Amino acid sequence: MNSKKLQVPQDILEKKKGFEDLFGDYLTEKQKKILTEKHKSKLDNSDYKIFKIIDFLEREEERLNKINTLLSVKLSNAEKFNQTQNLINKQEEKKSKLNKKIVNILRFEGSHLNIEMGRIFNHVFFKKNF
Amino acid sequence: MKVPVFEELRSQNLDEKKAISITQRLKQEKRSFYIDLTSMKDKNRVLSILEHFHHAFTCLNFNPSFPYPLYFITKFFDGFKNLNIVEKIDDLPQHFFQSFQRLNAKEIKKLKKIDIISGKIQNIDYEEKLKMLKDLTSQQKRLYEITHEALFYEEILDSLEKYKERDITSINKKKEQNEQ
Repeated sequence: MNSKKLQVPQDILEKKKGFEDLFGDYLTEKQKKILTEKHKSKLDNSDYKIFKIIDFLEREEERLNKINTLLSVKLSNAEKFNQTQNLINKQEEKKSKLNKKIVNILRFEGSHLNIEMGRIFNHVFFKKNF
Repeated sequence: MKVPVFEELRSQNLDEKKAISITQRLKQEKRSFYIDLTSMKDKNRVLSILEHFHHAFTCLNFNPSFPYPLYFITKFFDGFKNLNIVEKIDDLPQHFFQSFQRLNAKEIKKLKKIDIISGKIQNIDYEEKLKMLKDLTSQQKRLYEITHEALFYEEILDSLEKYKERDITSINKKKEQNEQ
């Protein structure tokens, strides 16, 4: 179907900038062409590219700075003020104390484990019921 | 001084001598590179190239990750001896893929600063630092394991103490019954 296209005056078109997609059906082919060319030139703009490379250089500087501080400052500080070994020793002490307590409880005559072990012993050697 | 974007290293007959000469060049360069081995379909050939490079890196004390990475593109041997290996070119970090025009004064100043920092990083003794890092991480892992184990014992002890109280009362009851 060939529908007649509305001719939008230039001053109205200027006012409606940014809403080209909404009233794109009312644009003539020539106007559409101008708009796409404008959009293309905006993308190819050298300012945009310069911004990108500056952005990259800044990110690269940040990355290198982080690597440098990790390898030169943070690692040596970590080695100087490292408390991990002390914490490991403390935890090992705590572990051995807990172990002793557990063994003492399990060795208690009427302990749950003792009773269960007695039942198994009786069943195996004296054929008593579980 | 060049912008540290990706550049492909193209070379024919990547033998041991070539690997050493490339590594010597890489030590002076302050840029990231990649070597495309996707055209090679012989697994053994790729393996020998990777081994040549690994040998050259260890001989010349070159780290393929700092300050700028060197990547090998091949679908074989992922994670081969600390080398950076990716399957296809799209898997390379996009950070180093940049298009640019002539640099202006501000950008050149920034680039000079980057050059100084990368020089500093190159002077660091990687072997020692990475060993230190490994020691620290293994210590942290050991601490985690021990703390986890101690917590487990603590839980067992809590539950055993509850049982102990119950068992003592039951024994006392039995004794009373026997006496009666």
